[in-house]
Amino acid sequence: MTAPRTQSGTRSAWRHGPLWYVGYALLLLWTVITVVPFVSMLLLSLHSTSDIYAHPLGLGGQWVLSNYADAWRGVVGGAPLSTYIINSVLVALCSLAIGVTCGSLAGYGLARATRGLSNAVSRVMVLALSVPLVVALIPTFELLGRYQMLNSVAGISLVYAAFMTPTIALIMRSVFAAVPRELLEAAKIDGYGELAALLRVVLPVSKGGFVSVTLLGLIFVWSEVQFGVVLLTRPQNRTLSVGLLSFQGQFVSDQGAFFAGLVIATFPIVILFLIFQRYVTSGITLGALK
Amino acid sequence: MPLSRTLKAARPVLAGVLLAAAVVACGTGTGPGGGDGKTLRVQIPTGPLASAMQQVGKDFEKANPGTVVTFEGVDSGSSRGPNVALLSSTGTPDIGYLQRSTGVWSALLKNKQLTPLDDVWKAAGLADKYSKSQVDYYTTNGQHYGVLYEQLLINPVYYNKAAFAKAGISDPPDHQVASVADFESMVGKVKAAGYEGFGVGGSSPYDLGHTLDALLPTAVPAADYDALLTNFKPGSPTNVKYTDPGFVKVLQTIQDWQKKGIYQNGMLGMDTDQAQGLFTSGKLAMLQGGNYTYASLKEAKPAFEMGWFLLPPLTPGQKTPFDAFNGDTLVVPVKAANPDLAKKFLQFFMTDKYQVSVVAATGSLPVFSSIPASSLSNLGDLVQQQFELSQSVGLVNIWDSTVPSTLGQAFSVPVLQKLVAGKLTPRQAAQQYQSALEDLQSGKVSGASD
Amino acid sequence: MTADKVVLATAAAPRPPRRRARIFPIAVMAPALVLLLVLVAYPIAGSVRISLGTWDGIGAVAYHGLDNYRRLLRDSLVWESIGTSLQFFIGTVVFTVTFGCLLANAISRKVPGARIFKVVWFLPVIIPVSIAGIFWSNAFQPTTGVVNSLLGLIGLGDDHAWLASSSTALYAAIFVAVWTQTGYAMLILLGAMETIPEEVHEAATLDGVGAAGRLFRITLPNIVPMLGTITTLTSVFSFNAFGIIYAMTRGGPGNSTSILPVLVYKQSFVDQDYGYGSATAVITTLIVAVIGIMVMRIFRQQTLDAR
Repeated sequence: MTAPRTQSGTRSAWRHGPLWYVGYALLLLWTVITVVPFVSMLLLSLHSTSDIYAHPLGLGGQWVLSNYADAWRGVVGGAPLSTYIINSVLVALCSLAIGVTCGSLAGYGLARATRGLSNAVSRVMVLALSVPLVVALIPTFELLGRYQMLNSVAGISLVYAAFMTPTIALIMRSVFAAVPRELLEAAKIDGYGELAALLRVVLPVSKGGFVSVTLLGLIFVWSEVQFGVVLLTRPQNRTLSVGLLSFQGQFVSDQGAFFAGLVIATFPIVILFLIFQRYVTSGITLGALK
Repeated sequence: MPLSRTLKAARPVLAGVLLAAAVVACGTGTGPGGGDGKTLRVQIPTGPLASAMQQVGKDFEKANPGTVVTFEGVDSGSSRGPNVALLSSTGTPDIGYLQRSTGVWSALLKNKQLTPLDDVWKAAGLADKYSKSQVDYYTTNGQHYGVLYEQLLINPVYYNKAAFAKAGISDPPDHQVASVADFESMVGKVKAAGYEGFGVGGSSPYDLGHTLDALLPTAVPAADYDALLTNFKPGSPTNVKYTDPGFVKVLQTIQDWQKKGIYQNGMLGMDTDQAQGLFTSGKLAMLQGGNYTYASLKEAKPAFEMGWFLLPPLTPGQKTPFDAFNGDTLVVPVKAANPDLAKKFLQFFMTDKYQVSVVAATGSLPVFSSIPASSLSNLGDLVQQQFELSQSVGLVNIWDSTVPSTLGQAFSVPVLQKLVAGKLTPRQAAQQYQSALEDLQSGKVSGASD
Repeated sequence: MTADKVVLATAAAPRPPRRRARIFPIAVMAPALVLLLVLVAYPIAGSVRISLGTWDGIGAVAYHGLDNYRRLLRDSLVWESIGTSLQFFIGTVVFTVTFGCLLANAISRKVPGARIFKVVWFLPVIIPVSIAGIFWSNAFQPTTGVVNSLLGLIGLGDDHAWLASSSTALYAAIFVAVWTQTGYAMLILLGAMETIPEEVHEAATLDGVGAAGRLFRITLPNIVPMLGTITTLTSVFSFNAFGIIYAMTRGGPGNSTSILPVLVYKQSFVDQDYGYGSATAVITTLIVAVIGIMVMRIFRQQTLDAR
C-alpha cells in the first residue's frame, strides 16, 4: 500500500455532469451548516438581550461590544471566565506534558520492540481507547477522592493524560517508525546510548508528530466534560467546557454576554487550529494509517 | 524530508518544556485547609445568595480581627453525589452546604461525617425560632447536625403586568386564581394578545416537578398529602396510593395543559434559563418560578412590571397554599480544619439581622417565626407579600424533594415529560409512581430515608 | 509535508530491534502502561467491584452479589436507555460515516475549493462538545433560535419545537453528534483515499466510468479497512457522547435522549446509587464491546489501529 501521488490537475471529464452541480450544491449546504454556529454566536455576541430575541439571526438592532466585558467578569457566585480559561490552560499543559511524554515514549517503544511485543501492546492501547469513559467514572471519582485530588489540576490532568496516552502512542509509533534507520545507526557510531539517541536524534526530526499529538490532545482536553462535571465540583476549579455548562444560568438576564462567553471559549482554539491545521490533519491521518 | 540531519545541539524538546510548565501548574491543586483557626472556607450554593453572603463574611472578619472568610460556590449539578465526596474528605470546606432532603445528608450522617451543632442551636436560640416541624426535621437522635437558613417557595407564577393589561386581565385578587377554568381562560386571553402563555422550563430536572408540587396539595385531602410525604419508608401503611383519583387528576391537568396549548411552545425542550429568558424578553406572559427566581428576573431589568399569583386549586373553593422547601442547610463536616471558627460563624449568621438583610434580600423567606412581616417592608418587593400570604394561606412541605429521588424529582420529572409528550396516559403515569413507591416500601430499592 | 508523512508512515512497519536493545522498548513503554493500569484498568475493575454491591460514596461497599444486575433486567428505564443508545449509535454512525465518506471523496477528487473545504469541514471537531450542545440547544428553540429563523426565512415555518418532542429531540441530538464528528471521519477516510493511485481513477475515467461508479467500484473497496476503523471510533464516540446530551436536553424529554452514560450519571451522582450506576456502566461496556466485535467482523478487520 504505497501512495505515489501524481500532481495531475486537469480532470475536466468528470466535472460537468448535471449531477455534479447538485452534488456541489450539497457540499455548499454542508459548509453552511458547518459554519452557521460560528458565525451565529459571533453575531449574537454583539447584541443586547432584547435585540437577540427580536432578531434571532443577529443581523438587526444595535451592535455592542460590552457583552465581552460582562462575560469576562462573570457573575458573583460563579467564577469569572478568566478563571475557567486559566484552569483549562493549566489542565491542558499538565495533562499534555504527562500524556505526550508517556505516550511518545510508549510510541517509541512500540516502534522499536519486537513485532510480537509491539502488536500485543498495541492491542492493549486499542482496547484502552475503545473503553467508554463512563465505566471508569465512579472508581476514578473514588480514587481521586481518597487522595484529595478532586477539584485539583493534578488529579484531572492525570486522568486526561491516561486517556490520551493510547492515541498518542499509536500515532507516535507511526512517526517514529518513519525515522530513517541510518540516523540511529549513525548515532550508535557516535557513541550515543538508546536514551541519548532518542532525545538528541529522533526527537528533533519528529517535531511535526509532536505538534500533531499535542494538538489532538488539546482538542480532547479542551472539550471533555464527562469527567469534568464529576471531578471538578467547585466553580473556581472548573475548566472552560465544564464551567460553560452552567454559564447560561448565570447569564439568564444577559444573552449577549452568554454568547460572548461562547465566542471567548471557542475562537482561541479555532485560531490555533487554523495556524497549525496541517499538523492536526496530518496527525489524524498518521494515526489512522497502518 | 531530508534523510540525514547533523547531530548538532538538539533543539529544546517540546515535551521537556511542557513538563517544566506542568511542574509549576500541578502545584496549584487545592490541598486540605490549614487548620490555623483563622481562615474559614464556607460553601454556599451559587445564585443570588452567594453575592449577598460576601457582606456576612466581611462583617464576621471585622468582628473577629485576623480571620479570613472565603466562599466557595456549589451548583445544583454537583451539590449531590460529588459533594458527598468533598465534604467527607480532608479537603472539605469548614462549612458545607447541602439539601437536607437529599442523600448527601443521609450518607454523611450515616458515616458520622457531621459535627453536632447543639451548641450553635443553643447559642442562637434556634429551637425557639424555628417552627416545630422544622425543629423535628432537624433533630436526629436528639441532636442537631445542621442549621436551616432559608425557606424556598417553589410555586409563585410571575406575570407580565403589561401583557395582562393588554389582554384585559385584572390582577388576580389575593394572588389566587379561583379555578382551573379561570386560569385557562387567562392564558387564552394573553395568547390572543400575542404572547406565549404559561412558561415552564420543561427540560430542566426540576420545573415540571414543581408544577406537580403546586397542584398536588389542593388535589388530595390533607391527611393523604401528609401520607404521601412519608409512606415511602419500608413498613408504612399502604392505603394511600398514587393511583388514587386526586393524584391522577393532577397528572390529567398537567397533560391537558399541553393539549390545550397552555404552556409556551416548545416547553419540553426549554430549560429554566431559556424559559426565564423568554419571559424577561417580554414574549412570555407568565412564568412558573420560585421565590428564588425573582432576584434573577429583576436583574434582567425587564421592560415591564411583574406581578405574581399561585396556580389554581384543583378542588374548587380551596385556597392554594405555598409549597415550601425547608432543606437548605449548612453543616460542619467532621473533617473540617477549623470547626470552632465554623460554629462561631454559623452563630454569627443565624440571627434576625441576617435573615432579613441577606436571606430575604435575595428573595427567600426567613426561617425565623420571630421575624414580623413588617420588618421586610423595606425590601419593597414581593418578598413581604409572599411572606404575608404564606402566613394566611399556609405552607405545605414540597412533595418532590421530600420523598427520595427514586420517587421524587429525578424519577418524577421524566415521567411528567412523557405524560406531557402524550407517551403515557395519566393512569399509566400514576401506575409508574405507585410502582416506584412500592419498590421503596418493600425495601427493594433503598431510599434516602434516615 | 503531509504527503511525505503518509508515504513514510505507510511504508515503514516496526523493525526488529537490535540484540542488546530488548529491555529498552519495555522500559520506555512502562510509564504509559503504569498510567493505563492505574487510571484505566484499575477503575474498570473498580466498576465491576462496586457494581456487586451498594455504595453511598463514603465508606465501604456492601456486597450482595448480582442483585444490581437482576434489578437492571427488570428496570424499564435501563431498557429504554439501551434502546435510545442504540438508536443514537446507529444514527450517528450511519450519517457520520456516510457524510464523512462523501466529503472525503469530494476533496480527494479535488472539487473547486477543496483545500478550504477540508479546513472548514473540520472546524466542528475542535469546538468543545458542551459548547456545541449549548449552542444548538438554543438554536433549536422555536421562533427565537437560529435554526427556526433560517427555516422561517425560506418559508418552512419558524415555530418548530425540535427539542420538545420525544422523537425530534433524539434526531436533533444525533444531528449535533454528526455535526461534531463528520469532519473527523472525513479526514481519516481522506487519508485512506489518498493512498489509491491516481492512475487507477484516470484509467477508469478513460473507460467511461462516471464519478459515482468510481466511488463505488474503486474508492470504497480500497478503503474498507479504514471504514471499519472510523465506524468503530464513531461507535465508541456515540457511547461517550455525554457532553452533547447533558448540554442539550439532560436526557429529556421523558428520557427520550437519555443514552446510557446519561443514565449512569443520574443513577450515580443524582440518586447516589453508585452500585447500580456501576452495574449500568459495566453493561454499557459490554454493549460497546459486542458492537466493536460486530463492526470488525463486518469489515473483516484483524485489528483496529487509529486514534
